[in-house]
Amino acid sequence: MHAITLDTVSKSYGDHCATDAVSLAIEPGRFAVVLGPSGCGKTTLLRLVAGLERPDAGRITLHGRDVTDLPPGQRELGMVFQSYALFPHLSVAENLLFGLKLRRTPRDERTRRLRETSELLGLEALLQRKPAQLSGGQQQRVALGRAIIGGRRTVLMDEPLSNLDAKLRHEMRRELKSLARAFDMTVLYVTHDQAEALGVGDLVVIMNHGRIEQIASPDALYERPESLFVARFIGTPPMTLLPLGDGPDGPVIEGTGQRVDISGPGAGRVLGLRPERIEVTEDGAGIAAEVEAMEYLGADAVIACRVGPHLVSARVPGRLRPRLGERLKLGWSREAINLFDAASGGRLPDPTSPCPELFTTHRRPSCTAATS
Amino acid sequence: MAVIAPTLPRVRAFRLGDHVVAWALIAPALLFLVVFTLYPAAATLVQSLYSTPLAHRPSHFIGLAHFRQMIADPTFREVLANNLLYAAGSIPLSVALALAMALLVDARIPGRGFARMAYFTPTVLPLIAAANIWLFFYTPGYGLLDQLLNRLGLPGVNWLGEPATALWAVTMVAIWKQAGFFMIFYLAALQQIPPSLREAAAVEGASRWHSFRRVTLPLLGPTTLFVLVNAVIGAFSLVDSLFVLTQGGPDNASNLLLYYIYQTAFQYWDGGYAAALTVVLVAILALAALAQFLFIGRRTHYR
Repeated sequence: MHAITLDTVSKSYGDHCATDAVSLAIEPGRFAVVLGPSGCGKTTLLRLVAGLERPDAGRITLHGRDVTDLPPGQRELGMVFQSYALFPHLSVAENLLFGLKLRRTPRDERTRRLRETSELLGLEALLQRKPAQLSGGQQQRVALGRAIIGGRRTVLMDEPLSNLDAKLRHEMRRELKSLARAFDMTVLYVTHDQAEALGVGDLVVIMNHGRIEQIASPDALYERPESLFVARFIGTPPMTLLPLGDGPDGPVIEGTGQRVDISGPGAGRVLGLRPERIEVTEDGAGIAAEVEAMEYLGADAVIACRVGPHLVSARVPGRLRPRLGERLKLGWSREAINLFDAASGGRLPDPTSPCPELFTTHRRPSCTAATS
Repeated sequence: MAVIAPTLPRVRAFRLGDHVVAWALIAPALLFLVVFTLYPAAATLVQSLYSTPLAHRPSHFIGLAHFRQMIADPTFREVLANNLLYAAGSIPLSVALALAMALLVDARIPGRGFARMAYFTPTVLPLIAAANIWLFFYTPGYGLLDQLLNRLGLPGVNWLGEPATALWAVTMVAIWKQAGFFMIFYLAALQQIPPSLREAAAVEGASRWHSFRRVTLPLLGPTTLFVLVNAVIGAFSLVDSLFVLTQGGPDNASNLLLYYIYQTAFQYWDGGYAAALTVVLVAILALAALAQFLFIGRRTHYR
């Protein structure tokens, strides 16, 4: 039985379709992150699960129970809001106990849970304070505490870390993850920050224009994007996407005569390469490119190389330090290749035959020799 | 000493100049405050202790005689009782109505803009015009209310002419007029409350009533205090609709404090007694405001 199931759930505002027949099933104990650009429908999705919005069509099931027509309070969910939504007139303790009091939990159990939760989140010394007297990080903890104090098995989080500074955000990510594991919670977490999504989630749902583009583990998402959108969206810098054309001897990079060894036709397909999978070759094999920009990052450097009308991003060891305007050859292994259908944007089956010219066997760490 | 001495005159000169500038800056405001507030207040207090000057007998000090007269004055007692009844009726009803209307037009309902305008219209209408409309409603025989009663086969009522109904008829007009005004404050306060608070309460299982009771209402506390203070002041300073509707009649049945003060001062020309009545009115208002700040203000959450 799944913890959260959405069956062709649609919701539109006027003529804007926020979620378009979305189907999704999340197993219990998963930390699922919904990721997408702003306006993609991810927050609507979360609000639909919470019951704060009613779907126009489709069913929502939580732990086997159809909750589509139930109000938020009967869905047995915890929720952390982006703005924390702490009650400003109530103390930390009253905020935490708000739901338990409503559900008429016995007093001694309330006291016990309050003690456990405040210890867990380090809020013992703050229980009598009002939210305005807390720092952002402390408010965040109270919001989290309010969501988990009732022992809810499913917790929804709407960009819970977006108002924290970078350092605190990092710490909280780790903490959220261990907390979710310790309590065996199912988490549905919305964010627009891909580093956060890949770092915290064990299942990532990519949304775009109200539809789900891909549901996968972070590594699968990164290594095998199922669509051009995902390929472009995930990764910093994102995957280089080179439209292919047909040359006299087979597929070439569109707008250039440079051959890539991929079986089948070139036209209508797009070649995708992760920057760190592209290497500067030493033996003269590969695609000719000219360094147009370089960003030195210490351990490595990201270079943007011009190949005909296209720019190819490559992550090279920092000590190589290619110079601007330098001409070099780029190569990649067969496993690095992602192929997409240019028209549909969908992923195509991996190429079967390796390309001997591009499959460089001999590489030297320095690129100075490749300079022409 | 030798080190400090040379700097001393300079410091003193600076302070003097500072004071001059400060006094010069507050002078215009202070002038108006003194001429229009402090002096009249002090003059009223003094006047209340002196007899009203008559043609053959100039004003002289009589101490608390006016206040003793007040205690024995049956009209004053009736007017005060009327005013307390009027306050007890108009304040809770107009504030509750204001809150209800604000909640209604804050929600996502069709025609929200129109409803807001409709609720606010009585406040914008000049009171004399509004009172005239109500005068028509209350007119015996062919007024709106009597026409409705006649349709139902009931006898008409002389709403403003009967001692039993006159005060309540006046109260109705005041509620109708005030509620829209108070609604604006509640509406503004409601829009300051982030919707996520109500959503958080809903996720925790709060019913609408509980969410209103535990979240919305406490957050409206400062507004309620402000509105209540205004309502109390309004309840004890109603005078304009009485001019149009009842002139305090019949037989003082709808007479209120401020109107009685007006009558005493400008119809009976008893300035000294009017001054004493004014002192009592101001004292009542001051006590009421103080009590509100102490009892409600202490429990109010200010953001």
